[in-house]
Amino acid sequence: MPEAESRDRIALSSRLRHRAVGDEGVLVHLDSGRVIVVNEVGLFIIQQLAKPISRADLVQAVVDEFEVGPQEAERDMECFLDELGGEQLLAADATDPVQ
Amino acid sequence: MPAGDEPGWGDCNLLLDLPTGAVNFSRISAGQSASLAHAYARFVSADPQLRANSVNCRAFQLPGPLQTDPELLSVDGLYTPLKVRSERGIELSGVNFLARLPAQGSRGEACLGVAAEHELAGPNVVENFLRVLAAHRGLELGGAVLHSAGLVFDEQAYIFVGRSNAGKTTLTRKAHQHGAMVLSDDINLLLPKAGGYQAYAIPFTGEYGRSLEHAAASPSYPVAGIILLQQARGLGVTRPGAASAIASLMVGCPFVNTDERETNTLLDNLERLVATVPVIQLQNRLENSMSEILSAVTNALSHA
Repeated sequence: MPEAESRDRIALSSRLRHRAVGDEGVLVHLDSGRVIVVNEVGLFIIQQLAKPISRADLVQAVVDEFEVGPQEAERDMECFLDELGGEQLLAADATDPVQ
Repeated sequence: MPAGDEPGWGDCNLLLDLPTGAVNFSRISAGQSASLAHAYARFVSADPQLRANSVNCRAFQLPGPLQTDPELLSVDGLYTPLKVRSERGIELSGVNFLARLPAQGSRGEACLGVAAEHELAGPNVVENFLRVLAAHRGLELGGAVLHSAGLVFDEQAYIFVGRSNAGKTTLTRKAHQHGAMVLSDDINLLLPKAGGYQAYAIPFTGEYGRSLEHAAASPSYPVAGIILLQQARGLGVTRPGAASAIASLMVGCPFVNTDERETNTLLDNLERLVATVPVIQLQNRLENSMSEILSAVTNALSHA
């Protein structure tokens, strides 16, 4: 896989566990003990991130699942990914994603 | 970590019949046995069948005081023994002790080592050992150990969950003055039973101390509700969604909530718990009287 393409791929940290509860999701970070609740869209993104995925494919998946345009989906997704990154919930290397 | 051939402290045994299963302390001295029997009087048993099915905890002598880095024994500023899984079980390092728990909590071999004889029965040693054991065993039994104040009104247990400084001990003091029986102001065990959940008096107390042994009381009470404590400017009650309730409870499950082998089981158990027992969030302030709090809680739970 080309390096640029590999760098674009994102995935969850292997230290994250998540559970769907109704329309929401519960995220547990095993290192910090932090527990976070995400809404339906957040849960969908988390489920997509269980395997490495490119940002473009992730945006498309959100667009396909929810009635939202690509620009809005990308903007909201980047905000959410920033939050996940801030909580250390994304894999540093997407070639070593969740187990 | 203990190798298994360290010398013991004596040839006495003491069996404790705890709600999460029996624990037999072996190779302890007469003094250690007396101290443990005094601290856990209501749980002492001599049942040979129970002993045969217990976790056998072998006491041993450490060669000298431990030099454990205090930074390793702190989670969110609270003292927490360091826990590491190995092929032999769950290894614990705490202030003044080393211990090993069986990987599966209900039966098997455990050990607990201290450098000075009197340290074994101290709250920082045996109580932490038992807390971690109860947390794992509670999961196996489908329940959870929760950082909470367990208060009994009219034979019903109300479990007030909150982080440190959320007001659990203050609330416990008010409730006791109001006539409540106190299970614990720090940590309580909830186990499924007969379509509901029971809250068990387990021998772990916080700042409120061990003043209430309630030896004549029931060993457990049906759980009427779980109340998530939140400091606020006024009194109010809201009903959290299931995910928020699970997240709040997950944070309050010590020793197992960051153990990757236990996370899924804990989530399973908490999902069942919040689907069975009403959970509310209580906004309150220190000045609220117990009558006001109890009225708000019972009213909200009756409509939950």
